[in-house]
Amino acid sequence: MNPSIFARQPLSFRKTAAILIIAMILMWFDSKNPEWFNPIRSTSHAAMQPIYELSLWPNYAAHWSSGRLQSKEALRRENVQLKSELIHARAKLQQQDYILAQNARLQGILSTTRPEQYDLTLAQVIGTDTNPLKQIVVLNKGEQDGVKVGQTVIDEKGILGQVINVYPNTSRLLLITDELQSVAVTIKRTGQRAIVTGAGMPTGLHLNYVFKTSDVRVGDEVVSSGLGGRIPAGYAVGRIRYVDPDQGDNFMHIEVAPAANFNDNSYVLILQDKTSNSIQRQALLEATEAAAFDELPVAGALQPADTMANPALVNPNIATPAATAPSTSDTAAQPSR
Amino acid sequence: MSSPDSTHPNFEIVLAIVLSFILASSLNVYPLSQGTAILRPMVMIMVLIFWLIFQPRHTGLFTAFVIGLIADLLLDTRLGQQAFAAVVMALVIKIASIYIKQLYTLGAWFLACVCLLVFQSVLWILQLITQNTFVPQGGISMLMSMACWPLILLALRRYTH
Repeated sequence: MNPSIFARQPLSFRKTAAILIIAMILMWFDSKNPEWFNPIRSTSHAAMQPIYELSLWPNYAAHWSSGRLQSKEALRRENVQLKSELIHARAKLQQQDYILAQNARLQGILSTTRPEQYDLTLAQVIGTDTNPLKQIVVLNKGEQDGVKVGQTVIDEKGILGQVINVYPNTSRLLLITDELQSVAVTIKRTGQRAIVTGAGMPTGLHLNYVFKTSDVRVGDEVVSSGLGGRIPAGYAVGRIRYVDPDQGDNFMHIEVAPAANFNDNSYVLILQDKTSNSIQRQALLEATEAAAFDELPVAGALQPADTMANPALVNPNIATPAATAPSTSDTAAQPSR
Repeated sequence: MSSPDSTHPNFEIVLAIVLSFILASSLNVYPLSQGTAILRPMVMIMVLIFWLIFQPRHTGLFTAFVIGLIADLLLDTRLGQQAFAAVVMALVIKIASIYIKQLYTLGAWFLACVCLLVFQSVLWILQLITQNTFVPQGGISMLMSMACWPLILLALRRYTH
């Protein structure tokens, strides 16, 4: 390398001090009133969209090149494997549809709230937040795809987190492993309620507010309880991997291994509220299947939605409350940032 | 106004500076898995160090402040934290420029390493004071940045004179 040049510039300590003071003032304001800077942060994240989309190109290129380089034999094998998985999945789905229909009917009889139903939107993780203090990833689906703040995101194994920012083509997902995120859960074996909180690392979660006298074992499965209305019930959160009952206070120190893959998940599913049309279609489908499986009287089986509102249609002994089943989907709270 | 020995027109240097920062910011948010993200070098700061050393007439304290603020917004750190650290780092380079007459590859690399150490140390201190947190992963990122800085030198070598 050629000898370099340090062009001599006058050293202005006054200017330096002024800039440092401005930086300190900004830090102070950001710590006291972070909401003041929300618009500029939102704008900067939105402005990063082209960068995110630019970052997608190497992924597309890798995908394209792997597609071109894969041999026909490998593709044939993959195709056979995928077909086999599809058949297995469909077989399981048959059973699940039956259970869903039966569940809907039983809930009608018991006059309980109908579980929320969602459309699943596939999205790709296109970026990670570079701040190691935060567990945030960026998804390639945004407002134009119907993504909204507060929607839950899962992978094939469990809950990943909640959408916290939405832009036209992208959105930001706060993972449940973030220290700011908590999920209301139940322990599947015992039904005990608790709260899972992120530890700030992708590999660990803490289970809080479980008394020392509680029956909790290593290996117990933890699922979301739906309490609080933020994250729907029944999705896997993790499995207990360590229980320490010797902590000083009244509660046990419990660590949970997350069910979802937080390290290498490239594709995720966003749970979106079903539109009215799809709800009607689903209700009709469920009713038809219930009738086919159970040969129930048409009045009771064809309209599970009606049985929710009027359980007396199924069981005349049940009194008809005015509004027993408000839609919980409307109560989903938005996470505050 | 370009540096004394500069053979490049002003607009070309300014364009190169702007483009290099855009590219660096895109590398800063490039999708990496959570595990690999810890190893991500501080590309924007590396590029800033290069321009502060080799084009001091075009980049200075104010550029360091602005790039620091942009890094704060991109990385979602507290506004002003990285800006403060970048300005302190720019000050170190300015002071070094008084004493160093000629700079060769190894000397530039050493100076860049010192600057990265100063930047990360100031950031750690600020995070401890303002947020009561210490992020050791920043050290890995700093070491990666130190190891990778010659790549920046190689990529932008035509602007070293």
